[in-house]
Amino acid sequence: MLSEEHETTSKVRLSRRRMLQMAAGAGALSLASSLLAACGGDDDDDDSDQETSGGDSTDAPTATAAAEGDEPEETAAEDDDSEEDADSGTEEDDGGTDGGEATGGDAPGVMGGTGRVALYSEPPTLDSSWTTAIVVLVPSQHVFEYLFAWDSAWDIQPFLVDSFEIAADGLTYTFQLREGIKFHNGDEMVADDIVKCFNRWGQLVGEGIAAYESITDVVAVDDYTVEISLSKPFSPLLAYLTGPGGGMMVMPGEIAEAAGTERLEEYVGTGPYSFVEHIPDRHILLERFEDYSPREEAPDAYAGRRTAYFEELEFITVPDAAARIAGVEAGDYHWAEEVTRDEHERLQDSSDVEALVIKPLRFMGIIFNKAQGPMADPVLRQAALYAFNHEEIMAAAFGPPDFWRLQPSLMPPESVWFTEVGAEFYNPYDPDRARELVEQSAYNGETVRWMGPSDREDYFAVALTGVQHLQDVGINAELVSMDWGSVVERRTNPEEYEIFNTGFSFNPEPTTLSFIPANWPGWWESEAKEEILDRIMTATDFDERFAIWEEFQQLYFEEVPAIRVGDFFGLSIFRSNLKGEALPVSSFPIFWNVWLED
Amino acid sequence: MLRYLLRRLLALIPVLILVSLISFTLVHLTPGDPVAQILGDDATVDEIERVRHDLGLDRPVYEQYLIWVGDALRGDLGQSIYVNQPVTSMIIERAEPTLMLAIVALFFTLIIGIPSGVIAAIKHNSYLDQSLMLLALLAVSMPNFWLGLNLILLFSVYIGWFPTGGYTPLGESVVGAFKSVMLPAIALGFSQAALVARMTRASMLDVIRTDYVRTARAKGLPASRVYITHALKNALLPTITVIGLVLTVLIGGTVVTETVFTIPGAGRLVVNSVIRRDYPVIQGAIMMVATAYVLINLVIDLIYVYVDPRIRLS
Repeated sequence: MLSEEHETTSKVRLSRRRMLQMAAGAGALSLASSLLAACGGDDDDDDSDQETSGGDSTDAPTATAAAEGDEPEETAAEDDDSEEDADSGTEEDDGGTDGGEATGGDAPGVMGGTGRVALYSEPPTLDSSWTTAIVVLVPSQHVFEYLFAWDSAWDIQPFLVDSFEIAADGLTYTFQLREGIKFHNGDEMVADDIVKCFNRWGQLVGEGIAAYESITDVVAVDDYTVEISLSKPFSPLLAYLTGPGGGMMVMPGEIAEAAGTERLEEYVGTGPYSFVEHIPDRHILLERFEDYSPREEAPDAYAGRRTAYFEELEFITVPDAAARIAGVEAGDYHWAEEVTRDEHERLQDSSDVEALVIKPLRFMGIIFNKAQGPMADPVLRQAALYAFNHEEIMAAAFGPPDFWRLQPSLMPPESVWFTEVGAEFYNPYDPDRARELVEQSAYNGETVRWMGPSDREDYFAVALTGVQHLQDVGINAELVSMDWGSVVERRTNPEEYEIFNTGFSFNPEPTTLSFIPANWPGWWESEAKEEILDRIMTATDFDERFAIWEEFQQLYFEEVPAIRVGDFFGLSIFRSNLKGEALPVSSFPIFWNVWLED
Repeated sequence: MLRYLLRRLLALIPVLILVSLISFTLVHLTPGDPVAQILGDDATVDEIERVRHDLGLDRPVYEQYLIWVGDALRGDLGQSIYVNQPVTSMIIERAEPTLMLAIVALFFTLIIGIPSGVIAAIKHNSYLDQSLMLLALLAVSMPNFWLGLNLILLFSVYIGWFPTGGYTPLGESVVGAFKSVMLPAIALGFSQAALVARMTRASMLDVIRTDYVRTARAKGLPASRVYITHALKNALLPTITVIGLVLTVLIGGTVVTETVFTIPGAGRLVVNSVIRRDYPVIQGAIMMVATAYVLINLVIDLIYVYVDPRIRLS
């Protein structure tokens, strides 16, 4: 028996060894083949990368942007032969030309290659007149241009307009268009196209609809002159026409007409890049428009000359934040947005990657349902004003104080509209006073439902903390958890909630703040507000408008339609060899006037 | 055989009808509005209502369903509410990356799972057996995205052999396509292999104890021939079922891996469209996954018949 077992065992051992050998062989084979696949032949690497200094700071829009008169550098087309390279920077540029000489003798950068940008969310379209989503604007602003453009001081500069005149009474605007501007389909931009774009804008876009309450007519006087007639002065008009933002993109008239109030089916613009394809969840691909007519002035944020260094631009949706970061570190992407703020310290020390704090990104606002329910009572809203501890809320949502700040003004300190009027009502944090006000109000202990999006951690933390604060002062607040999609739907229905919170992005024209219109969720209906808005829209002098804006901010603190908790910042990262200024002002990035260097 | 095939394929129809009805109802019962999400935070109530009307979303649910069925029967699965592209082309675009990922992942599953199961069975109760099964337990318990991120860190960021994400189509570069699915396939293969390993081990154990195996050994056949040629073939039957299950998971259920590795696959399509309440895409994607399930199960059943002559198609 013993010997049999022994024999069996040895036989087993032998066959096990065989088994292991075979398994090892199979494993080795597969490993070898994948290694071969990995190392074998770098497919398509024609890098034309060279380095110059890049702009790091955000608040100070420096003039690191292309200085005129720099020598054009001959690009040494380099093959990326880093097959056995152990370092983390294997850059794989897909195709793109072999660099070649920098066209236009003044451009200091390097032409060629494919720029790759990692977006955090899939843009549904490139039509940024149909939707205000920022993730759409980032790619679409390379394809479409506007009549005017924001410069680094947030001043309005003519862009597709050559010169313009505003009549003294503010009732007539005359725009002289630049001549010889080509659309991506080869046609020339003429006044008639602008008129048709205006028509679509006036029906489709919020800013357009507001403007058309004063606009009576838009006419093409001749091929390059457009005249706008108004029934009463409308001072934000130029700001509404200034891009990026505002929705008045310039496209061929027949396309604007055909689209009407529907989404654009084709994207034809005047921008330095033309549209190639949009494969959802894969990429948006743009390519350099060779017949682009740049402005002559030096680049200044979104204004001035735009040079398309990259041959192609690829926008890839990478929903996972860690994957976005890894992608930039590995060199797969050149720019990534919405990076987890906790990573800031580690990324600052990396040599291949630069981290940029975008300041400010948005402000966090708490919106009350003023159409019905307990929060429709202004006294209870004032109680809420004293109940919230802004520091706690911002810290809970945004973590380290590097990424948020408290300040009383609706418009940030970086803006000319900054004012501290009413500052005594900002973050007064006085729970006793809050309780007094609750007593004085008509509140009878009804449930106050606060919608919190469970899939957006930072927004959810605001709701969670806010509910606590309200409960502490005797308001029966309840956190109702749901996904963001449900919040966005339910907030349009006054039966469903009393409070929600969201982030508001910064727009240089203060009257575009989203919670102002009466038909936006929250339903701020107030005669005093309408009266102030009327005056600010018709006043043309900035000092006059500013004084009215201060009145508005005072009213906001009295009526408490919403509570602005604080400003928060964002984190973007990019490859150290991405030169030029992708973020000349703290807003969204641009990928013209930037290039890659070795 | 042919009649059997035909009957199984016809059974696809009631399955699809039922699945479409259930998914349509469930999604429409869930609160959430696709339009408000696309239009962005600043959209006014009027704008949202206008677009909802344009898209026919303000009609009663049963009417919307019947419209969808009518169009689907003519091969038109509608337009995505979110990206305004035909649902059919979106699904077709996803087919290649999903299949590539599924096949390469299945390859790793089998290459890791089957030998492990066989070895564990042969060296039953030894340290090797126990450590292999512990490894299997680890693989199953490990969060998929954690494994994925670590693979990215090691092989993409530090060593740089593979891209951190994205899918390169076969048409563009065969090598690139394989490179882009290699890491996610390893991550998936590793976790799915555990199931295959345990199944193989269990059925191998059964087979090893049978009379005919003992006879074969007694006859003096070399162990390898006995175990592989005779035992394994029979032990693989339950494993084939499991492979079918694994494949169905790989086709529609890999959203986490696809998200971490940025692969535009079917899993992401289903989940994203649900989050966005993109009704036409949800319907289309679920139809696609359901069809895949039915077809895979059909193929598995046919393989059974081929492999095991004892089984007859009823």
